Amino acid sequence: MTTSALLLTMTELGARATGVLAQATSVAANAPGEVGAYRPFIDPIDAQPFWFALLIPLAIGIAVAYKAVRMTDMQGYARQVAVMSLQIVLGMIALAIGFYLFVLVYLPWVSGGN
Amino acid sequence: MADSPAPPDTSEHWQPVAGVLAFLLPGAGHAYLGYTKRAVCIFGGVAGLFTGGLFIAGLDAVDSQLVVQNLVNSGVSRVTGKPFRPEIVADGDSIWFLGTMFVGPAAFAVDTIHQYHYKVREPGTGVLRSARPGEGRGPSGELLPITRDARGGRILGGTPPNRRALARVGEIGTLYCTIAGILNLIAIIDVAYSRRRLAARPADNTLGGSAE
Repeated sequence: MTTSALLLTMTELGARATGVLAQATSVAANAPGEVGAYRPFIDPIDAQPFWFALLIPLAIGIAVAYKAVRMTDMQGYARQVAVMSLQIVLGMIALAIGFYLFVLVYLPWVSGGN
Repeated sequence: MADSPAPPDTSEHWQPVAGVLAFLLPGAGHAYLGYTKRAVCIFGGVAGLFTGGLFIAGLDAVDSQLVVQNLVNSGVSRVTGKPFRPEIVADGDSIWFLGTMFVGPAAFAVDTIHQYHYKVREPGTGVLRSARPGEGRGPSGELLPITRDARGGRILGGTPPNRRALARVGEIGTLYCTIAGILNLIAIIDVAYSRRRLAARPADNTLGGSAE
């Protein structure tokens, strides 16, 4: 496939995607009970597919405020914040793995695989 | 008597004014005592988490069901002798607001706006609740159905209030705001009564000193 043909195909795909998106938006706007356009800080964001990524800014925010209170002096503050943020995120991941193994591996195993 | 230990000097690590300031504005207590860098970091962390929670879950992240206001109004009515009529709110996350309220007046302001400008009043009972799909809100909070004209564009019969935050997004937004409040509570305690600050003198207690 030549470059121009590839570009043409990509353009066509983009146009189709835009059309589908516009149609979906139109359907949503006319759906009964739909409240209209998104308003920041009033309506929730559509973050269901990547909700777990929201834990990273949460960890950073906790570390920023907590370390500002707890550190004896402010030497190395940024490094301490980075370390604590990483510890929280890794702790969350470890907990997730632990619960995953407990629910989906250990419990089926002790119950005899039923 | 001369050998008995002197009582500890609590005047320096007991700072009620700083505690009140820290409640009114996150970081203000530390700024009042001269810990400018700490104050900026505390404000950044607490305000960032609080606004982050509002951004993620919208107004639903802060919902007290007016529990605190009802308690205060109940106390006031006992003192003044005026009759007290509690405001009933049908849905909300009042237990989470017990943490969020330590963000300070900002939390109460957002909650008041949420209750009185975005919730609807149930016809007949007057109970406040979030609007359901298809429901709108009139100018004084009355429940009005949302309808559309023949062309399908214009909304008639009420202004649509906020969308409810559901599932993970709602949970995480509420968690952001509650953790912001709890972190500010830690900052309030630290600035109002801190043994660490007394123990760390003089290196860390230099007002606006080089340690920061």
